[in-house]
Parts: sequence; structure tokens; C-alpha cells
Amino acid sequence: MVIKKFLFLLSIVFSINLYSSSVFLAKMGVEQGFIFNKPKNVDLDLDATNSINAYFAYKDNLIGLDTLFVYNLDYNGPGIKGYSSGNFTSRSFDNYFLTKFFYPIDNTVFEFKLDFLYEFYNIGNEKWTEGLYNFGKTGIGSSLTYNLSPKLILGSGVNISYVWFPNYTDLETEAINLIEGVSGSVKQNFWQFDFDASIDFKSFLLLIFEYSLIYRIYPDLYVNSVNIMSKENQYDFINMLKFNAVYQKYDFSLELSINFINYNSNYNYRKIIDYSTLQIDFNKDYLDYNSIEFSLSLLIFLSSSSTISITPNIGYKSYSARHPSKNDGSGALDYSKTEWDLYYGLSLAYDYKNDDVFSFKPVYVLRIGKSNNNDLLLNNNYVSNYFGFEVTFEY
Amino acid sequence: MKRYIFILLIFIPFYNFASFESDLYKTLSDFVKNPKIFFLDIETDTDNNLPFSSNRISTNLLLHVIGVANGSYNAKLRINDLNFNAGCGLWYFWGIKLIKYIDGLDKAKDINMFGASPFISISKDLDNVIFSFGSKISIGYVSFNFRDIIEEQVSDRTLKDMIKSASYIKEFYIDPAFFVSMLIEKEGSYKGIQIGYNIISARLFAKLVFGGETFSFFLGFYPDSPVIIHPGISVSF
Repeated sequence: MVIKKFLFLLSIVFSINLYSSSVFLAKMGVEQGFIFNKPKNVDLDLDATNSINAYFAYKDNLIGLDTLFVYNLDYNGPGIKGYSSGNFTSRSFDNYFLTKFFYPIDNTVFEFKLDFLYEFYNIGNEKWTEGLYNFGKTGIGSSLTYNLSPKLILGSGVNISYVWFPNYTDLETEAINLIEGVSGSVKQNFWQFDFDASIDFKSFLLLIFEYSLIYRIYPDLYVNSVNIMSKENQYDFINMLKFNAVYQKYDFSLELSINFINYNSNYNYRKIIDYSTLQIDFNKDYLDYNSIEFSLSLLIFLSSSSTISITPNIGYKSYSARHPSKNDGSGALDYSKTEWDLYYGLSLAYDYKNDDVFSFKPVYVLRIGKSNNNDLLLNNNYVSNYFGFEVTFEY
Repeated sequence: MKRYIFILLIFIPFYNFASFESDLYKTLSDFVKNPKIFFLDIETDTDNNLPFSSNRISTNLLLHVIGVANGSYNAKLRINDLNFNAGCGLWYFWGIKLIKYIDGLDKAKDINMFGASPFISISKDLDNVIFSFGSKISIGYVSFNFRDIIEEQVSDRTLKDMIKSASYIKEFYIDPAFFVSMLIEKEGSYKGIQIGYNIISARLFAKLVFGGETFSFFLGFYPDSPVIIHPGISVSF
């Protein structure tokens, strides 16, 4: 979830026109959706999503440099199980701040940024400040955008961030440490170093290649190992490769998107599978996976105010060492196999714009998931239908 | 105007046309379980504090609850180059008293709910889109007393004592909030959005408004509430 949040924030920043001198952008909207999820061997589950979001950006020439300020608010409510219900579910409240300086030299733009994100994650009647899964992120970074020609743009960037979870306690790991007599911290805080490079090529097609490399190190977290006295720090190493090809005509646009992720971590999974005997299951390199996603979006511009989009997509994830679990998640189903997950689906949306400011967008999404992992809690085998709408005011 | 009637027709099927008594039960349930959230929802439903370019007196008809009498005044002020809006909304939920007509609830007493919300906002017009930042204070009073009903209908002594403590309330609420709004006014019609945050109850709210000089349609949007979307019609002069 944390990774998705970061990618979303990056997409916001990159959507701003970097080359105009004075810009004010504002976006405010609400979103409401209903999800009909039918997991395999489990009854149909009905839930809802509801969110409020606001985004303000101002860019101007200050202290001789173009400077961008961004504030983004994202609030997700508890779905249909409201505040006064006994089954009050989680809600989250994100506040994101960004300051970015631009320094152009000939065909190159050098950027330096400082950013800060804090998510309040709240369950039941917790106070916002005491939420178990609250997290914060602060970082600095710089990037270069080089306009080699009107058709070719090269980009690269580096960022350093620190992510902390002020209230998080991993009770299960603490319990295992207690059983095994290991004293150690379970703080999830980590440092993140990332590097990205991109090539944009414009001809009759717009082609975009992006590569990102992320390295995370957890200073307070030691790898769960067969050797319980191990003091090796946990780390994650993530490679992401993205390719987009866009073909645009007057009344339609076609976009092919391919994402590849290679996730490596030395995290080893230990889980109590039988509390009566305190038997522990051990799965080395539990998080490691490769995944690939394809999507093909067709946008049909019916008029200047109406657009229909149709997006079929498919994704496949293959774990390197994780074994598929039994229905109740208690241990591996088959130690000779590793887990795979597949999903495919379709999204349909109609986007109505009025006055260039107001938009109303009903959305339907069908998603079908298949997996050899039978753990009902993970819910990897499902048929899910989503109906929702977004109302947005954008300036 | 036709388009707003059309929007209204879209939302009418979502409205609960169940029996009157069933509606009252639902209202009662929300009211008793979390009176403050219920109070804040109604207060925001009855607000009219967008940065309109002319003075307005308004009253709102809420489509999800019965019997909220309300009125509000929104005045446009201009001081030097700065635009301000200021005003106040007042409301009284007389419909909540109807729960006494539900079988078995005739002994409910002291059911009252009313409030006021003074506000001020500063606004800026950018290419016919008006942005405003403002603050309001939700002030109100909520009371109910179901002790006689519990006394009569619950026989177990321990259970009776437990429920009785939650069946009586007499509270003043004060909750300041700040909000940002965006409004497009064009040829006698307007559409706008407001997003706000109640500081003490720590919750966000939003409101969408589509309308003309006299009639407008609005949707209150409260992600934390039992009923998330509150539709209504506003009449202004």
C-alpha cells in the first residue's frame, strides 16, 4: 500500500507543466463506489469506497528560481460501515507537501525537491495521532530533464527518503521473539534510496521508457533467520521497468502500457501455525516476486466534453520462494510449488467535462483473480465488480 | 433548471421509500448511536456558505430526513480589493419529535435538536472561478431522554442500568471547522464544491452544489457517516 501511495504522488507531480513560469492549479473532488466481491468458497461481500481529495499547486519565480509548492489531501472513509456502526472499519487521511525548485540551463532543467507526507490511519475509535498504522515520509531529491531535440527528452533523478511508523507494533513477531528468546526491535522504519531514468520519444507515436531502482534498508529490523541470533538488517531491492506507447488521432487515442517489477528482499517469513504447540513455519525470501502487467486503453473523444475509455488489462505475479498456503493460512499447501497470482479484467469509464472545470465520471471495473494460493484471508481467487463515480472540479 | 431536475431524478431511486415508521426508526438509531455526527451532518446540510457574488437568504429541504426547519443568510462584502462572505445559518430539527409516534416510544422525553453556524470566508476570483477559504463554528444543542422506556421495557436490572446511561443526553456542541470552496458562476447558474474539516470531531466533509438564482440541488458527502450522501434542494432569495 505504501508503494502505491508513493507512485500516486509521483504521478501528481509529473502532471504539472514544468515549463510555464506562473501557474496555479487546484483540484477538488469526491469519489463514491460500490464493490461486489465474490471470493472463491466465501459468500458475496458488499463494500463501498468513499473519498474526498483536494490538490493545490502554485508555481512562480521566487528568489530567482522557478519554485513549485504542492499540497495534496486524500481522505478515505470507512466504506458503507459508517461511524455509528458497530463494524466501523478503517479510514485514512493523507497530507502531502512538496516544494520543488527548477534551475534551467540551455536545454536542461535541473530540479531539486523537498517533500513530506504523513498518513493518519485510523481503526475503530483510535485517535488520529494514535493510529497503529500511521506513517510519515520525508525526503529530498533532484532530477535532470534534458531536451535533446523537440522529439527526444531524457530524464533522470535520485531521491533519498526516510519512512517511519510511529505507533506500529508487530505483535506476532514480538510473540515469536519472546518464544525464541530473541531480544530485538520490530520497528518498521526504513531509509529509501531511489534512482530513475526515462526516455520520451515523439514521432507518430509517443514512446516513453522509464526505469526505477529502489533500495530500502531497515536499520532497526533484523532478518528473521534460521539462525535466530542473526543480526543481518532487512533490505528490499526493487527494479521497475515501464513502457508506454500512445497513438493519438483527432477522435481517439490508443495507449499500450507494460509494467515489469522485480522485487527482491531478504525478508524471511516466520509465522506461528499452531498456538497450542507454538509450532513456527519458516519461509525464506518470502516477499520476492516478478510481476508483469499489460493494459491497453482506448479513449474515444465523442465531443469536446465527452470521452469514453475502455481498458482491458492483465497481470501476472510469480513468487520466487513463497509457497501457496492452505485455506486457513496455516502453513504451506505444497512445499514443492511456489505461489502465482493472475488477474485480468476490464474498466469502462465515461468522462463528462463542463466549463473545462467540472467533470463527472462514472466508472465500472471488472476484475477476476486466480491463484494457486488458497488462503481465504488473502482472497486471491475472486470475481470483483466495482461501480462508482467521481465528481471533480479542476482549475 | 431542467438539468438539475434530471440530476434529482437520478438520485430519487436511491432514496428510501420504505414506510414512514421505518424511516423514523433509522433516524432514531443514527441519532442515538452518535448524536454528534448526526448533528454535524445536519448542520452542514443546512449551510449555505459558498462565495456567492450577491447576498442570499436561503432555506434547504433535506431529502433524507423529515422536518428540519432552517434558514441562512450569506452576505457579500468587499473591503478594498478583498472579497469576503459572512453570514449565519440557523436550524431546528422538529421532525425528530415524531419518533414519539413510533409504537413503544411514546414515553420518550426532552427530544430537542437545534443549531447555528456563523461563518466568514475570504475569496478570490480567477478567470470566473471563485476560490474561497473560510471558517465556521457549529454550535448546537442535542437532548433526549429514553429512561422511562428502558424502565418499562427492560426487565433485567444489570442490563437496565447499562442501557439507561446511554439513553439520556443533554449536550451543547461546539465544533469549529475550516473549509475551502470552488465556485463557477455563469449566466444565472452556478456549480461548486466545498471541502471542510471539523477540528474537534476530526472529520472531513464535502458538499457539491448545482443551481440557479432561486433553486439549487446539493449533495452533502460525509464519508464517516452512516448515510454517506445527503441530497437536498435549496431555495434562495
